[in-house]
Amino acid sequence: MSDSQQPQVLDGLGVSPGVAIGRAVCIENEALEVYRFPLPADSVEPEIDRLREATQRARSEILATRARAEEELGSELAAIFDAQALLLSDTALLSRVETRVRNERVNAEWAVHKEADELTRQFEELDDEHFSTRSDDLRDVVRHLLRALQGVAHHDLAEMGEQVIIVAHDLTPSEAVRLVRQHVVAFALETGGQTSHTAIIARDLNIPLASGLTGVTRLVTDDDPVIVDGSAGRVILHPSSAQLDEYSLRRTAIDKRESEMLAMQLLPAVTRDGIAIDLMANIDLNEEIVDAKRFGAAGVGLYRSEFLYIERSPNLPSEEDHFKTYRHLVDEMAPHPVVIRTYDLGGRKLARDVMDTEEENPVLGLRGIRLTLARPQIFRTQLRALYRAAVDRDLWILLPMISNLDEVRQFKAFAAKIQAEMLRDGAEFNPDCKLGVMIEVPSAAMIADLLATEVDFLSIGTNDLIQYSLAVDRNNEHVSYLYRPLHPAILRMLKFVLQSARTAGIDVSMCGEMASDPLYSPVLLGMGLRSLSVTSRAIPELKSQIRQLSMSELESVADECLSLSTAAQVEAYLEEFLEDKSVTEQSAR
Amino acid sequence: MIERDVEIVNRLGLHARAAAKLVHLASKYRSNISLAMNGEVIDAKSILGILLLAAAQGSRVLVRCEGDDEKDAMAAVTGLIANRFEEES
Repeated sequence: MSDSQQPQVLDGLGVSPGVAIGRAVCIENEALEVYRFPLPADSVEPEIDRLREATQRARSEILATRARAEEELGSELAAIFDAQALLLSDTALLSRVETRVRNERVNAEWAVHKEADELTRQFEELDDEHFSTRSDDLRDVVRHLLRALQGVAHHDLAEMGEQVIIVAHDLTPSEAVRLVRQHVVAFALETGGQTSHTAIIARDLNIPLASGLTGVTRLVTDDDPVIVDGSAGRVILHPSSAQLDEYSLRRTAIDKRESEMLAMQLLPAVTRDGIAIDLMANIDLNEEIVDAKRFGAAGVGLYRSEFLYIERSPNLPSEEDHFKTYRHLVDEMAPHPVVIRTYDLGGRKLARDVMDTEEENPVLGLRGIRLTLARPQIFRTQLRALYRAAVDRDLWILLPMISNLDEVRQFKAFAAKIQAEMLRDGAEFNPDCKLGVMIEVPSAAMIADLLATEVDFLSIGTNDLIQYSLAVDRNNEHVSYLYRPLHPAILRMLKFVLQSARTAGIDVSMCGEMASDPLYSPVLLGMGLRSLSVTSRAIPELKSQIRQLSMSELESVADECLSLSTAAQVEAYLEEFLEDKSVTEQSAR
Repeated sequence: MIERDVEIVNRLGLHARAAAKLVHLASKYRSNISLAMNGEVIDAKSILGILLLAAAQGSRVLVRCEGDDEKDAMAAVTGLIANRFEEES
């Protein structure tokens, strides 16, 4: 695959680990560059003809996309492209562009570009919450039109070859979901952080992703040979044959390590002194059930149901959509339990259609349980489906973003109403699903003892708990160094939550990223945690760590950690503890 | 010429897909069909016009049809709007 061009290395952010070698497919979702050319008088009419031809081409392209979308995604989603095709046959739009070509004597590209700017501005001035989707449609249409004018071929995802590496400015979660179903082996993006939904999807589906690659879309052209190292965040364009060999070897090593890890699947997750730990899987899509089983998950500890919404966006999933998805999931995982978290939309997540207003500070805004309680119709659909899917299955319901007791009580009243209604309808359902709350807001952690008396289980979401407690956005490079899971404040909170659950005699598990790092296992287990839910691929490594620990010594490890005054001290202590262990183990052999 | 005042009742208002349905429907009739709101009058056969009208849920729109099939056109257009563009259960 090596070619005559010089290798070029780009370094960015490692977002989803792994190595992939393939050929680039550039997805242009950023504006094309457009230049202004004055036209001589006699070129104006030929330019208009060129514009009309391009419009026809762009329109048939959109109609072809529509047909394919209808086949693959169903007619409701395909209808999105109706509006785009209509825009291209709208004389109101075209006459505006033509007038500009004639009056200003400029090239069609420039006229399209200026007219689109003007319209986008008008859309944005509208006091209306849905303008953004409209300007998206317009932008899409303009892109098609500019491409047709410039003779750039439009990508047909269905025609992509094997070993495709997607190179793009950024990627929305729904684009990512759609793309990984093709032959995509890696993503190389200009922007996007560690905790974006696209990042989560890439990691869960085991697709390497490097982001923060400034200029990558400019440097790469279609079909260029590319290596993506998603662990280091590195992309190599036109790799040399030596680099290709090196990365093929690494690819083989990764595959080998993976098969070793898979062997771990057959062994139980118990400490040396026989204490069993539940290792469950976090999943977003039913496609990941395969991995959860392959890596030996003892159930699903967190199913993020909002991905169902994201996949259908901008449409809301119907009760049947919910029901089929959940039923498939619980059937596949039976007899293991499955914890389904109700919609956690809002915040930075996609809530375009559900939210009516722009929020100044969405992370602290109408999201999670707040949003669902405020939109009972949407919640009702989901709850009915959950109770129906739970018949003869171990389905647990988990509420996100709980910050006080009233929300739990409000939910219970709402659930009782739904169940009464289902009883009246004669629906077949299971009213006895376990109910739990996420502990991810500091106020919820501080009243964990009160919450524990009202629910059947607690689930600690460390990503948000840490972010809210330490007032740190870890995607913000200026403050990300302050994001420390071992901060004494976090450890004290965790200890209180675990104690509260034990006192109340209810289950507690941890589903945040803190659970998946083997460095933290000694202190978490030592404080009493017995159930961890992590991305499936992290299970083998975690299991191998747990099998080397003895619970008898972990309690004092936890006490020691809690007595230290800074995160750095706790980190150093844990590293030393694990290092000593592996040394002792080596010498014992 | 006939006119009728209708309310946009669907949740998303005249958003892109609803607008597309309206244009498709309006284009089946020979009559001139326009929508008026807040002093703006737009052609119901132009999607751009409809989108720029930005009629959200709850807004009132004046539908005007003029032509030999104006009665049928009016019934169809107001029917689609009342029917929430067939998009919500």
